[in-house]
Amino acid sequence: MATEKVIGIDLGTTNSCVAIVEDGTPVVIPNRGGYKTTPSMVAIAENGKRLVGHIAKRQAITNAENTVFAAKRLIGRKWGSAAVRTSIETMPFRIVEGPHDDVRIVLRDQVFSIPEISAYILQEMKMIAEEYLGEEVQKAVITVPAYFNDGQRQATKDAGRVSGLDVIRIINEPTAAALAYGFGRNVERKVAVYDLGGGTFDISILEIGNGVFEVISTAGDTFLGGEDFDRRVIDWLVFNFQRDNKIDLRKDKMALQRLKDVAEKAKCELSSVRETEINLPFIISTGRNEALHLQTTLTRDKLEELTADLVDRTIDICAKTLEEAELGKGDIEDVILVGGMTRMPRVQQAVAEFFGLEPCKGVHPDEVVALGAAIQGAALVDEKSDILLLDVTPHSLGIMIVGGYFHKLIEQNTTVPTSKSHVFTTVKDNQTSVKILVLQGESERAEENELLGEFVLTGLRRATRGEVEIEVTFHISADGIVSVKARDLETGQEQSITVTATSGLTEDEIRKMIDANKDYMVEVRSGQEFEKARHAAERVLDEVEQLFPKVSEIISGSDFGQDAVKKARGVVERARAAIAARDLPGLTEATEALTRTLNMFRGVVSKTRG
Amino acid sequence: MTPPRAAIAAMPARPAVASAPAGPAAASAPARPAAASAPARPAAGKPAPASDDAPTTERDPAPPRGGRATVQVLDDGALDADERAALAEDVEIDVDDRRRIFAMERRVAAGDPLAMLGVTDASDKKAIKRAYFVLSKEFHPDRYYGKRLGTFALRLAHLFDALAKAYATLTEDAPRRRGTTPSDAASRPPSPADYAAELFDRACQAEVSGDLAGALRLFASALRVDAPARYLRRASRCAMAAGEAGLALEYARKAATLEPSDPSTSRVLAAAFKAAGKLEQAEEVLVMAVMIPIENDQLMHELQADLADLRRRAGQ
Repeated sequence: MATEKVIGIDLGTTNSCVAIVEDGTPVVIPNRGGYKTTPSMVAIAENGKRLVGHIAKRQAITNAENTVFAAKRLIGRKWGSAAVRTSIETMPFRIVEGPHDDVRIVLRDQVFSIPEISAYILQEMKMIAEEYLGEEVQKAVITVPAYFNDGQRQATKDAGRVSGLDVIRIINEPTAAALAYGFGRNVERKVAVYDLGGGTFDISILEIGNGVFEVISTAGDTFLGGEDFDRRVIDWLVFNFQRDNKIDLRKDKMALQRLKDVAEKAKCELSSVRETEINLPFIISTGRNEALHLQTTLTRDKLEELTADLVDRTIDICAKTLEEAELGKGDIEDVILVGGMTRMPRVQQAVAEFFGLEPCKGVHPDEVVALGAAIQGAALVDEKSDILLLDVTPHSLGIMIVGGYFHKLIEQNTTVPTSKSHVFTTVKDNQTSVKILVLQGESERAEENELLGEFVLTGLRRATRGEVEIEVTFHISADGIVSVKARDLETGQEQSITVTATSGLTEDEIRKMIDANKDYMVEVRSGQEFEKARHAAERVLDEVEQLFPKVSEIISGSDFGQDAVKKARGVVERARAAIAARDLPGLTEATEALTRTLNMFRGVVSKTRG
Repeated sequence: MTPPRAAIAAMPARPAVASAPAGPAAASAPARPAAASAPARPAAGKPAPASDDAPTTERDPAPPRGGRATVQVLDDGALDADERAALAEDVEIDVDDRRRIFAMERRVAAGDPLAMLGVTDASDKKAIKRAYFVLSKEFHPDRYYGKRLGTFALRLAHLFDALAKAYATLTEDAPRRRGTTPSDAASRPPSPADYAAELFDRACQAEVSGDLAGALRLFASALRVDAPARYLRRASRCAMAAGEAGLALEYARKAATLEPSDPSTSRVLAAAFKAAGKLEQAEEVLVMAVMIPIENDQLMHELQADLADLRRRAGQ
């Protein structure tokens, strides 16, 4: 039986691309028009017909309110998020609140969820592949920006399901690019992938060798991309027009759409020429039956000036990523550029300057991601494949503990599959159940992270707080599916969940849940820690007491000396009180002060003697 | 931070896959007869037909993907009851590969990261990485993507996890371990201390030029490499200037553990406590500091002035 075909889809913010591995060679599949990429646009025409891709793009100017673009910026986002706020202000189509604190789009009175819109694009890509291959395709690997959270990945998977595809894996775009770069070449080196696309920026560091692609580190910004560059150009055009004509072009949706098109076009042209004409006749009417035109020249220098801070931001993220991976710039042996924005000469120059080497030219920035997705698809289903991708979890995972803190069990950038256990205890006397809130993110405050799921472990023995021990185990499978198990170490009773979908809760709701569940929180086991701290404190305490008479004798003559003796007494008493109250944080602090006191005492004794 | 080594040692000697039939069999009967009778369903002598049924798993008789054999295959006599049950399981992994999985599990159970990856103390980072990559190709669950795996799904996940942790342990320790050998120090001229000093100088420059955020980043980098009290004091001052009271206190505390009775450290620590709103601690530090006789009158004067200022403020 021939190996089943798996397509790789780069579901981009502005354009999408589909590829497949044929007879061992990854190839991009062109669409009916012969183009290798298809605009990620969906529109509803006047007659109610659904339009996708190039057809949708062609009618966008005349049907701006019913044409969706950049839906990827909204996928898996919550209604209250900053990303959605910005989109509502800048997008010509209507964005409304959905029933699960999510986002919906209204096109000609029909309401669509974001995964639905993405599904239409995926369906189009599936069709392109089927027409090319002459057979049905069911399986796909889809790429997402490295920084997508679980909710966004899940929503992307949902979109795949809606489109009739079995999404066998979601992989990161920069990782896919590295796969395409290293495929069929016998390289052994560390590479950086700088991915500046239409809507997002990612930087990833990979180690490649012997057909294995190990992701070492990955980071990015989900709201920094080519469209931000376009917006700078639009702002500049609008500002100049307002200055000259006292008319705000933003108020007119059709004018805004034309500005958007022309800004993008000018930006692209300036990658190969030094200056370009921008010409928009009849951009707007003055209301006195007189039309105004927009005509100006944009130079490459001006564009670079308008967008300098955006480029700087990407370089800052590169520096941070290297630092977190504990790597120097010199450790990177090749840089791969991905995404249309990396055609901009200033971007290439900034990357070359930062890494101190010329970016690799061998890969096509628009196609490389889809090719990589196809390679991973083939690697999974093909018995003979010699490629293995060692992927990482993009965000830290853990649970909420008492006080609303986030206790991480698995750190971000850990290679999957992986598992990790930790023992927690009860926080109240006679607490018979614990609630496990599974969270994802990097903040130490629980509510600032993403809630993936929750469950309750009941039937605990009635006991003094801290006595009952609960072991929590996290497991992430190779395809990124998270499961969490909590086990009562005494009875062996356990509860578990597999995180399959996000609940769509807001920070406020999580906060409310924290308040409502205070009594059921678990606490990091502290008994042992306290004993350790007590021993340490008592050792210091003994020494301070021994030195006390001598020091008092030396220093009590002066005012300062008497003050100091009083302070030292206070510190000793604080430590004793903390021990009596079994107050670990109090004791830790008192011990620190006590150690300082001891050191001062030693200082006094030695100086005086000498 | 928990040491990765402990995490590996804490792993069960064998993944908790003891499936219902295998467990009792192992417990109740002497090994050999049990193995012959217990797995009656897939039964003895199954290995060969199993490969016939599933020709997709039948590849070259020679080494599997990954190029070369990395683990010795265990023969029948060496298997325990649990393993024999797993060998009889109806899964899409050929029998030799299963035996290799068992052999690898035993290596992992022994707990030595070097042995797990089949490297030695003398192996450099590159050799360790190569060994890890070769083993990954063999034992990563993706190798068996889409196959019916039964209890082997969990076995592979645990096995790979242990390999990844062993690799992390070895490569995290490696630079430090190697950095201390004289031959290596000679081949890499800039020592960590030199590098830290350079970062520290750049941080000071940034601070002077008013780029506090940049300075703090550089201080943090420098301190990761080398953290004498002098650097910590300066970084703490900078953090205070940037309004990062928590960070300032963290640095000052570290400085105080290094040079506890140093008057300059006491000044910075008191200032950091003050900036964090902990006036009582600030006062305590200063009171203790002024009782130590020091030769530097200027510094003593400053300490006393700080204390007076603090008390005035507390009084208000």
